[in-house]
Amino acid sequence: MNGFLAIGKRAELAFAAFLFALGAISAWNGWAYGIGQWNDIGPGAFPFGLGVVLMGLAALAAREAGASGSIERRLAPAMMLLPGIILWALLIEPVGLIGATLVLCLCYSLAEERLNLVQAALLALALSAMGYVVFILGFHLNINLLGDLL
Amino acid sequence: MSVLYDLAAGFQVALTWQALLICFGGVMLGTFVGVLPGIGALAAISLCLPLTYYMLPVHGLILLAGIFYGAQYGSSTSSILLNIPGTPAAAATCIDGHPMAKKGRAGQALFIVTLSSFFGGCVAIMILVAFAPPLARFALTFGAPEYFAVMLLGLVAASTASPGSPVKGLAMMVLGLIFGMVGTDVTSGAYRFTLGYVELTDGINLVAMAMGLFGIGEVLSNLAERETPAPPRKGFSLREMLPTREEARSSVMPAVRGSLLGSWIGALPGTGPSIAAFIAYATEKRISRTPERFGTGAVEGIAAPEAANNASVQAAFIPTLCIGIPGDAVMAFMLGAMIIHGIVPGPGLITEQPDMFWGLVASFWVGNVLLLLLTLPLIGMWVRILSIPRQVLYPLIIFLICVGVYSVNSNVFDIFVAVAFGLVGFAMSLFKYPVAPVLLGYILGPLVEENFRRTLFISDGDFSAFVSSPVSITCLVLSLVALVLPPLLMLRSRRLAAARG
Repeated sequence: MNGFLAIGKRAELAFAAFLFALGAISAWNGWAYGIGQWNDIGPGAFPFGLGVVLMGLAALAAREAGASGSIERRLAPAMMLLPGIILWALLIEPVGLIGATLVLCLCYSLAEERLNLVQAALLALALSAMGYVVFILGFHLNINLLGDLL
Repeated sequence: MSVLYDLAAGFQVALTWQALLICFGGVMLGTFVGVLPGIGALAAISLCLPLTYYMLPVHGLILLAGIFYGAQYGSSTSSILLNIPGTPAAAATCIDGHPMAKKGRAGQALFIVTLSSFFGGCVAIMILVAFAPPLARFALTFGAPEYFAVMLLGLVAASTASPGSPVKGLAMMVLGLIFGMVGTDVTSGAYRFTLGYVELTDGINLVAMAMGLFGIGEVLSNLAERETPAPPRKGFSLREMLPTREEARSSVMPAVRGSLLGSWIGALPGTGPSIAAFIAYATEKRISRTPERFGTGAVEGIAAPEAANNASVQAAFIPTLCIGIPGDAVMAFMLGAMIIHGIVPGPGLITEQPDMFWGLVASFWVGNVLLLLLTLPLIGMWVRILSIPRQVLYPLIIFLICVGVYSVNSNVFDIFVAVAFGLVGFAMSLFKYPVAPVLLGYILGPLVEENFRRTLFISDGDFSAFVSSPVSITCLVLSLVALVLPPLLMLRSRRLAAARG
C-alpha cells in the first residue's frame, strides 16, 4: 500500500494533455461568450486568447516531458487523504466537528503506518478540542461540535 | 520630515497591545512554518486569511506580513541543520550552512543568519520608507495602458524567472489568468465558466484556491516523498552560538551587500527572495579572493543570501503597496487580502489611509525586532519543532485547512474547490510546474483584462495607446526581454554543454 511508484514521461504527458484540454475548453467557451470588437471587447475575448495560448504552451511543455527522468513517489497517502477531506466536508454539517474530524483522521491513518486507529481517534479528539476552543469559542465560527445531531 | 512624522504615527498603530500581540503571533507562526521543511509561508498565510476577517484590516495585514517575513527567518534553521531549506528562499543557505553544521559550527551559523536577516530586513524597511512616497506620487500619473504594461511585466517576469522551465512557468501563469476569469465579467455582466454553480458567480474563492494549491498540494507532495533526515536532539545555548571575531568580521560586508542587492531585487516585479538569495550568494563567490571556500562552510555564503532574502521580502511590499501591483505570489495574496478587507492598494493608499500604510511599515520594524529577540533565545524550541512527527503535523494542517476554507462562507463547496486545486497542485509538484505563477495570474487576471479593455475602449481600438508613454513602452520592452531571454539562455547553455561533449 505504501510502496513507491515510478512516475515518468507518460504521466507528465497526461498532465500536459490535461492543460491542453483546459486551454481548449477556455478557447471554445470564450468564442461562445462573444469576442466583440477591438473598441468594445466582448467577455469571451480574453478566455479565447488565453485558451489558445495555454494550448500552445501545453504543447511546448509536452515536448519537455520526461526530460528529468522518472521520479519515485508514494501515491497511496494522497489517495487516502483526499477522500478524508471530502468526507469531512460532507459530514461537517450533519455530524459536526468531532465526527467529521474523526473520519478525516481515520482516513489519514489508513495511509500512515505510524498512526493506528486508536491514535487516530485520540488525535481527532485533540484536534476537535482545539477547534472548539480556537474557532467556536474564540472566533465564534458557525460550526457545531455535533452538527445536526444536537 | 513629514515621512518621520508619518512613521511616528505608524508606530502609534503598531505599538498598541493588540497590534503587538498580532505581530508576535504572526512572526511566531511564520518562524514555525519556516522551520518546517515543505510547509511554505503561503500555506500559512492562506490558512490565516479567514482569521483576519475578525480583525481590523491593519491588524490582519500585520499578521499576514509577519508570517511572511517570519518564515524567512525560520527557513534557514532546517537549511543549516538538515540541509533541507524550510522555504525555497533558504536553498542558497544550505550550500555553506550545512557544511558549517557538519564542522560543529551550526550554532554560529544560526547566529550569523539571524543577525544578517535582521540587518537585511532593516535596510529594506528604510528603503521602503524612503522610496514609497515618491513612487506612489509617480504612480498617480499611471493610466490604464501603464497599469496593463506594469502588470504584464510582473506576470511574465515572475513566470519565466520561476525555477525550472520557463515554458511551464508561463503555462501556469496563463492557467492562473484563466482561473481569474471565472465568475461575472465586470464589464458585460456575463457569467464565465461558472458551470451552473451559484458559488462560482463571484469567482473562485481565493482562500480555497490558495489552500488547495499551497496547503493540500504541499501536504500531498510531502507525504509522497521519502522521510526527511532526523534533526539534532537538542538546541544550543547562546554562548555556544557566538561566532568568533574572524567569523563576525567576515560576515559584515556580505550582509551589507546582500541587503542592498536584496532590497533592489525584491522591489522588481517577478523576482522574489529565492532569486535575491542566489544572486547575493553568486556575487559573494565571484568577488571573493578565496572562492574555493564556498560550499565548504564559508560564513560569507550564509550572511549574504540571508540578508538578501529578508531584504527582498520587505522590499517586495514597495510595488504592492505603492502601485498596487504585486511582484510575486505572496504579494499577490496580500493584495487579494487587502481587496477582501476593502482596501484599495495603490498610489492612493499612502494619502487616503496613512494609518494603514505607516502602521504596516512600522510593524515590519517591530516584527523584525521581535524575531531577533525570539529566534536566538528560542533556538532550542525551533530545533525541537523539526522533531514533530508528521503523523501529527499533517492531520493538523489538513484539519486547519478544512476549518479555514469552510469558515469563509460556511459552505462545503469551497472545500471541494480546495480539494480539486490540491490535486492540481500535487500534479504540478510531481511534474515540476511552478505553483506560484498560478496564484499571481489568478489575482492579476481580472485587473489585466480590465485595463486592457479600458485602454482599447478609450482609444477606440487603437493599439498605439499601449505605447503612448515611456512607462508602458519600457515595461512592454522588458516583458518582451523577459519572455525571450530565458529560452535564448537555455539554448546557449545547451549548445555550450554539447560543445563540451
